[in-house]
Amino acid sequence: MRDRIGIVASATFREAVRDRVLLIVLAFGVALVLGSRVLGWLSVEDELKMVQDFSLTGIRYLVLLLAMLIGAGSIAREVERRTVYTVLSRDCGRGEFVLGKFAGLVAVFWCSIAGMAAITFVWVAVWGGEIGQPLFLAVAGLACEAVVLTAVALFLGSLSSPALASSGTMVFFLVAHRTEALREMTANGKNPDFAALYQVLYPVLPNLFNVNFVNATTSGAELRWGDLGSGALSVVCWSAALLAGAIVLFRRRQF
Amino acid sequence: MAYVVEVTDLTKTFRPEVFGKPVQALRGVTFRVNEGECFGYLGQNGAGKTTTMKVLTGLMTPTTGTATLLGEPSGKESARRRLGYLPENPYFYEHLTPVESLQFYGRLSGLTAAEVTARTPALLARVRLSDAANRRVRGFSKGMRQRLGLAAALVHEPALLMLDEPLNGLDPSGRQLVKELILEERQKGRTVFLCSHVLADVEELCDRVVVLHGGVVAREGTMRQLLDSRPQSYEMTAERVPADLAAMIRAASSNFRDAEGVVTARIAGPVAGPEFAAAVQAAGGRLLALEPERESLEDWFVRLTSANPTGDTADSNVAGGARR
Repeated sequence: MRDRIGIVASATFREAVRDRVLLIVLAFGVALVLGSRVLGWLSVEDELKMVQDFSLTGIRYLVLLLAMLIGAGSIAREVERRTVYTVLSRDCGRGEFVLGKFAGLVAVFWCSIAGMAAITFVWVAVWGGEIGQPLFLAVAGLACEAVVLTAVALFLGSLSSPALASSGTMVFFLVAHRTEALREMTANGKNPDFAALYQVLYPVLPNLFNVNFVNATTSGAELRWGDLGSGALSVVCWSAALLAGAIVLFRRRQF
Repeated sequence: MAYVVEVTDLTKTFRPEVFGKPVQALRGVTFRVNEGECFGYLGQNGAGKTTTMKVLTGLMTPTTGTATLLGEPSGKESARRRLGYLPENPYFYEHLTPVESLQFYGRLSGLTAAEVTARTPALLARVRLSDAANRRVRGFSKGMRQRLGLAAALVHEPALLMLDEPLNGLDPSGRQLVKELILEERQKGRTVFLCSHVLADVEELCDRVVVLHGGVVAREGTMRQLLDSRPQSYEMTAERVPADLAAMIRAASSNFRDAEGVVTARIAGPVAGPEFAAAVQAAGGRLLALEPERESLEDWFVRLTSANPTGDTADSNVAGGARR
């Protein structure tokens, strides 16, 4: 089984890295990182902080773009182009196919993040910054985001069109980044029932705030690898649930 | 005896998502495919051929009925381990090369990377894609994709080869190549399940056929059983035919021509041709040729489908062991 997941993942990876969309998005990301210096000049804040902040945020939106453009349409494209016929008529289960697609896409996104992070590190070093643990932690958090966004994109892609799946992925991204802010808002709000309900729901809501170390990194806060723990666990749980859902939906599909 | 493919009372109904009438694509289809035979699955567009193939390959579940492949339920992954399937108009990962594609499909079918690597050059040579072995599939013509699809279906040397319209969109040399490949595989003892609406090809390649019409099996049998072996008409050429006899031949025939004393006529029916030929000779004329014309699969198929355009009463046409 692991073999077949690996085979599908490897083909997905090759297919994606040779696709023009990836190159265009990466070029956009590199431009964003390098352009962060311009923003540093224009800003009244610390130039180095701006470079770090803008570069890491650029990687975050790059991940979102990749999930929306490549991840969300990944399964739908296979169905539309009928490549899925030749794969699923082999000794390959539908679950293995979905997991293979997931693994391949995560590998593509992680490689993209690694490439962008390397450019960011060089850029930060050029402008006198320190390449320390907080920067690595921020990038690891972004890698966690990539995992859960890929799972969201595949889940939505296995039940709807690529356009709807892309929109849904973006909505998930926006909501998951506001979970913490919403908690504060409801706690300070006038409706105690709503605040109590939100408090109950909070632990199970998607929360990307827990893996977001960009602000902490740029503001120079002390960060340890242990800080990633609960966020990473939440990412794993959400991704597993979404992938299980994607597999169930994909198994029910008739081609 | 175990059958390579066994389909029993298969039905498939497509239900509309919101409004509209359900469409019954298959209505109690039953047939069996024996080991080592080249089996033709015929039908007009929309007859339910591709739906049956999708059920057999596990891409679709039937509404009712059962389908087995090589003794196992068709939905099981292990049932497809020894199946080589070429879908209609096959598509591939556009950015992979044929070598990479064969590696991918071969390994998915349980071969090791080394085994696929060893088989690839010969396989690509067989489908005449050696020159394009390392080019991306993206720029391939329809014929090249079809040939690559065939190579992918053959890479793991399956026991059953299931081909959906394998000759679609091919030029004459491509068609010839694919036909030769199918015949070679048949000679090796491989079971071939050929789905097509190009009847001349089926007639040339298959031992036995099932004709699907309107979602039911309209006929099943060997070519000999299905086609009337008696001549349907005769093409007669004669000279020095007396005028009164020539008039009788003209009245009984179509395409009558009299060019400088040489009479040519197509005489319908299995008996009239030889009778007129005997009459010509008895009257002192000279018979130059008497060619019998037998019904082709295409003539037969047109006759069957035009007699019953919707297939609604195909049950009444069931013959030659066909079942519902």
